[in-house]
This record gives sequence, structure tokens and C-alpha cells, in this order.
Amino acid sequence: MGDEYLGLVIQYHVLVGFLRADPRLRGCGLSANQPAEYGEDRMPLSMGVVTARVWSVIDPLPSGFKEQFERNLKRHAFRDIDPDKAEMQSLGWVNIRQLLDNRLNLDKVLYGGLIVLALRIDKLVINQKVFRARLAEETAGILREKKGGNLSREERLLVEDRVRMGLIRNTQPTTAVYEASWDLQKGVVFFGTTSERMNLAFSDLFTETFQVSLEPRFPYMRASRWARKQGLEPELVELLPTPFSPAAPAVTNSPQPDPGHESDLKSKEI
Amino acid sequence: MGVLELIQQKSFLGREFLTWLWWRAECNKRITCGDDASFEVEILGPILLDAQYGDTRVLALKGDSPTTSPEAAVALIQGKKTKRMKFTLSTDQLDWTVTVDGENFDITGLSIPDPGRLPFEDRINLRMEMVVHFEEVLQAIFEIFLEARMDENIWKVELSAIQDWVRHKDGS
Repeated sequence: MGDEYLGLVIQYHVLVGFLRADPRLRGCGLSANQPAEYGEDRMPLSMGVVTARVWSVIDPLPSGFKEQFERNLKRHAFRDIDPDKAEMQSLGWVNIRQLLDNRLNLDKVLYGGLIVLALRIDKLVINQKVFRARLAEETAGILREKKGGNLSREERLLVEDRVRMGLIRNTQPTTAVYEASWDLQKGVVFFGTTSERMNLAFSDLFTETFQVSLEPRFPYMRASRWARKQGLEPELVELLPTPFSPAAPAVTNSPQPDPGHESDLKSKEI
Repeated sequence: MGVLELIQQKSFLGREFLTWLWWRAECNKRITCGDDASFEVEILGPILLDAQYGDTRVLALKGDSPTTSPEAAVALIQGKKTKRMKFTLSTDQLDWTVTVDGENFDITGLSIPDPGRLPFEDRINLRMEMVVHFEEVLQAIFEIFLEARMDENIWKVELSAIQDWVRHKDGS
């Protein structure tokens, strides 16, 4: 175990030396992050077991990327929800080591040949039962003052807005933080959740921030890259699923086959 | 045809790959990649199997030995393929235990050696180096599958062996 660990440390130092010698990073004034204390929460990339969707960066690093990254990291940094602007959600980058730190610069996200940062998303969720109860209470109060009658549509909308804003101001947002790591040399990005919605939001924000396109490493994308190298792209497009069981019916090359396409061998509840 | 449509249409590649990997693990444990690196595969649980037809399309197998369970045999014979699977990839020096989703190759629960209490920069570099290494190994094994899958002659032989394996799983 000791030898294995020593081997890993040596391997790491060789790798870091190699990455620091990366000509794309040389001379651009980039430095590794300053050592600092950090939280030890379990996170999908920096701690514990790893959970991630894998992405490829399909564009080369833009020239003068240092200035561009600095500028765009600030532009797309996380900002608190502003209830006065009727915002219900806010999403942006934070320091991976301190989720309250949104004053980002390259020194805080560049670790050797990696860009490592966290995507923070805050959401305000109003409890609908409480909203309806408050609305009923508020409406009853107004009707008492008016001594009967009904509220007009405009009055009702105004009351709803007031109640909603009152609840928003007194609601703490829920916060989620997802880690991301970009290996600049290998052009591979790991985003620490498999949620479709978050991955979509991540790829949009990543592209806006770093001005490079991302492509998910789904089976077809991987196969397509391989087939391109082998000159087999047309064959890949024509490829059909194969039945692995001699008894299974052939399945067409369709994402959602016709439900009527069934064999005598239907699956049973097991 | 658009890329999104192709991604959806060819998602069977991931399910076929994971089922092929299961077959390789049981019949021909060592997988050798181009640069002489060789890997042993052990299938663990849970395993999620699905089919694109029939009434029961998805089946989850959990427990101590899901690969040898009668339910696994029935599902494979019915033509279900592996949608998601937990397995261990081992080399002489490293073991990775991971769950891979065949639809999108998302990785969950990838266990990597703990680098210990190192400064954050050293630790994240070491951890991500190991994760990238795993990703490269996964890609290399997927390419071995693709080489067989895209070659009519090789695939004919492998498919016949896979179908034999499925038949024997039934115990008949």
C-alpha cells in the first residue's frame, strides 16, 4: 500500500511538471492557486467517490484566453437572488473551495493544468399551501375593510403579488453546488452530477464563460469520433441493434419503436 | 439526420457495450488494450436491464450475485440488454469500481485511491489524473468493442459466442 501510494505521488509530480511545461500555459502569466484552507464536505470530484458526466471541449483554447477567462468568470460569477427583481433563481460560478466566494479570478480556479470551479444554483421555492393561506387571510382583511363585496381582477392580482413578494422576502433560498474540472491539455471536462437539467445549464454557462463548445461523451459521440478516424462514419450511421439472444426479436433502428412491435416472448414480471 | 437524432438512435451502442462487457467478464476475463495494458473485469450489482419492446421493459437486479441469478438469465434470453451496470476494472496496480450508464456513459460512484491529506491543489490534480485515466481506459475498452462491432466478420464470431453464452445462462 505504501509503495503504491509513493508511486502515485511520484506519478503526480511527473504529471504536474509536464502540465506546467504545457506550451499553451507557458508565458501567459498563469499561476497555480494559492494554498488555503478549504471545507471538507463530500463532493463528487474533490472528495470521496466520483460522480460525473464527461464532456469534450471541441474547440482549441482561444488566443489570449487568460484575459477572456478573467473577464467572463467575473461576468458569470454567482450573484445572490434579488427578490425586488422578482428573481426566483440565480446560477453562476463560485470558488470550489468556498461557495460564498464569487469574486473569481484565474488564481482561484487554475490548479496546474486544471480549471476547477463550482456551479452554484440558488432557488426560492414558495410553499403553495402557505401562499394560498396568506392570500385568503389578506383577501379577507381587505374585504372586511371594504365591508363586503368582491375584489376586482386587478385588485386580486395586486394582492397576489404583494403576498408573493412578502413570502419571497422571508424565504431562504435552497442552495446546490456542483463541481466541474477541465483538463486543459486533454480537453476533457467532468461535471459532478448526472442531472440532465443541470448538465444543460452547465454546458450553456461553460460555453458562455470560456467561449469553447462542449460535446457530451455519449456512446454515439465516442463511436463517431472513432469511426471518423477509421473512415467508418457511413457504416456507423447505418448500424442497427443486434439481438444478443437467439430468441429475441430484431429491433429496428428507432429510438421509440412501435409498441405493437412485440414478439411472443414478452417480458414477464419477475 | 441531425446529431440529436443520431445520439438517440445509436444509444443501443452503450447497452450493447455493457452487455458485451458482461459477456467478456464471464467468458474471457482479461481485456488487452493497444498499449499492452490489460484489464480484468468483474461484474457487480446492481444491474439494470431493459428492452425496447414488451410489457416489462426494465428490470433491476440487486443482491449478492445478480449476474448468476435466474432472473438475469431470463432477462438476457428475453433480449434485454444492460442499461446500467456496476463493475470493477482491475489492473496489476489499480482497481476502479464504478457504475456506468449505457445511455450516456455517465459515471457514478467511481472509487479511486485516496491520496490522503495533501494540499488541495495536489489532491485535486492527483484525483483528476486518476479519473482521466479511468475515462481513457473506458474509452479504450469501448473502442475494442467498436472494432469488433463494426467488423462484420469479427462480429459474426463474437455474436455467435454471446448468443451461446446467453443460451447457457438459461442452464439448458
